[in-house]
Amino acid sequence: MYDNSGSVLGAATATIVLPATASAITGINYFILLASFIAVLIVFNVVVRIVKNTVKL
Amino acid sequence: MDTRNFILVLSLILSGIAIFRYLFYLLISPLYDFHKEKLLKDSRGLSKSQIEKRTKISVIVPAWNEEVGIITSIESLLKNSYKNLEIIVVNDGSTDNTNKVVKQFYNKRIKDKNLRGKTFTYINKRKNKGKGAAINSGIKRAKGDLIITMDADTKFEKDAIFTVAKYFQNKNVDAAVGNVKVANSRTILGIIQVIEYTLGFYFKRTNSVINCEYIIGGAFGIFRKSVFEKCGNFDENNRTEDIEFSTRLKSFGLKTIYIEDAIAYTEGADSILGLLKQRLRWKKGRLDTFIKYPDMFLSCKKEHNFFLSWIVLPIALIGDLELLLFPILTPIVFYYTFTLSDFSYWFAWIFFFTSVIFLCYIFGSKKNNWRSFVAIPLFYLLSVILVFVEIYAILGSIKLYLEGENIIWQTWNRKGVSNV
Repeated sequence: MYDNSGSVLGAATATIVLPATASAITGINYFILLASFIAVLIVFNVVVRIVKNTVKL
Repeated sequence: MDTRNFILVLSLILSGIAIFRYLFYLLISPLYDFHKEKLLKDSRGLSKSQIEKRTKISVIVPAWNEEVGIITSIESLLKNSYKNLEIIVVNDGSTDNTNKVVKQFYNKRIKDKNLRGKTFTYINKRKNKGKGAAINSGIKRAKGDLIITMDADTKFEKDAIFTVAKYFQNKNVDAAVGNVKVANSRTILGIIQVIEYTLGFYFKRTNSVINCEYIIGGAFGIFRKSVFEKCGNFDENNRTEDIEFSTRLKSFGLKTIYIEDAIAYTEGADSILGLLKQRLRWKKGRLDTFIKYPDMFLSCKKEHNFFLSWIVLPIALIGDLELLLFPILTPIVFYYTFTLSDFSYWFAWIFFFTSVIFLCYIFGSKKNNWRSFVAIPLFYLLSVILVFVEIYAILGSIKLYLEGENIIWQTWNRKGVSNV
C-alpha cells in the first residue's frame, strides 16, 4: 500500500507545462529542453551513486 | 475575475502543484542512498549472530480465508535466514480450509522438528473479528523486540528479516515499511501492478529521507514493541487499520522509514473487479484516516513533521482531486491534438513518463521484475486503466463516507505467490 495519487497527471503536466514554458521564455526547442531535463535527472542519480560509493559517511 | 481568467489561474495552480510534487520526489529520492548509509551506521561492525542475539523478532501473520497462500507464507518464514524468530499465525475465524491446512502443515513440518532457534505459535480464533483484532491478539502473545506484520498472501525474501534487524539497530527508528513487489506478472493486469508498485515504492524513498512515511502497509510493516506501549494497538474497527495506525504514529512524532533492501512478494489483484475493490478500500481507509487526524494538515505542532504536514499530506489530497480532472482534460487535449494534427506533446508525454519509470528501475530497488521492464514503454497506455480505477475508488470512497458506510474486505480468486 502506498501513495501514488495523481502520478500520471503529474507526469503529464511536468512534461507539457514545464519545458513548454521554458521553451516560450528562452526560444529553445521544446524537445531539446525535455531531453535536457531527463538528462539532468540521470546525471543527478549517477552523481549521487558515485559520491555515495566514494565518500564514507 | 471572469470565468476564463479563473480557469487559467486554477489550471496554473494545479499544474504548478503537480510539477512541484514530481520534481520534489524525483530529486529527493536519489538522496535515499545517503540516508540509508546513515541509518545503517549502528549495525556496522556487528556480525549476524550478534544482531540475532540482541534482537528477537516476532512475525504476526493474520489470516482470513487464506487457504491458498498461508502455507507459502509460513514456509518462507521457516526458510528465512534469521534465527531468533517467533512466528505467530492468527486464524481470524476463516470459513475456508485455512485452519485445516495450517494444522496439517504444523503436524507434518513443524511439530517435534528442529526449527533452528525459531518458534511457532498458532492462534485459532473461531469468530472473525477483523484484521486489526487478529494482529492485536498476536501482539499480546509476542515476545519480540520488533513486531513484523505479514499478510498471508505474502512471501519474504530469505534475508529480508535480517536486513530489517540491521536497520533497527539504529535506536531512533520506531517503525518501517519493507519493499513489497507484486508476484503475479503473467497477465497484463499483473504487469501493470508490478510497474505501478515499483514506481510507488520508489517514491517512498523520499518519504523516508524526510521522515514522512505515513503508510506502513500490513503486507510488510515493522514496529518496535515500545511503539504499541506508546501509541496503543491497531484499531479493531478500521478496515485499513495499517494506514490508520501508521498515521497515528506520525501524529505522535515517531520516526518511520522505508527499507528498500527488505523485499517481500505479494499477490496483486487478478481481475479488474478485484483491483477496483482493493483500491476502493485503500482510498476509503485513507479518507477515514485523514478525517480522523485533521490536525496533521498544515500543523505547527512540534511533534508533527513539517514536510508531512505542509507538503506530503496536502499534495496527496490535491493529487486525488487533480486525478478527477483527468476525464475532463483528456478529451480536450485529444480534440486539440487531432484538430491541429500535432502529436508532439503526446510523444513527449510518453517519452518522459517512460524515462521516469526506467530511472526508478535502474536507480531504485534491486531484484526488479525484468519481464515488466520490457513493458515499460507501453505503461503510459496501460496506466489509463489505473487512472480510471483510481477515479472510481476516489468517488466510491466519498460516496461511502457520505452514506456513513464502511468498506468490506476485498476477495478475489487467490492463486498464491509460491512460484516467485
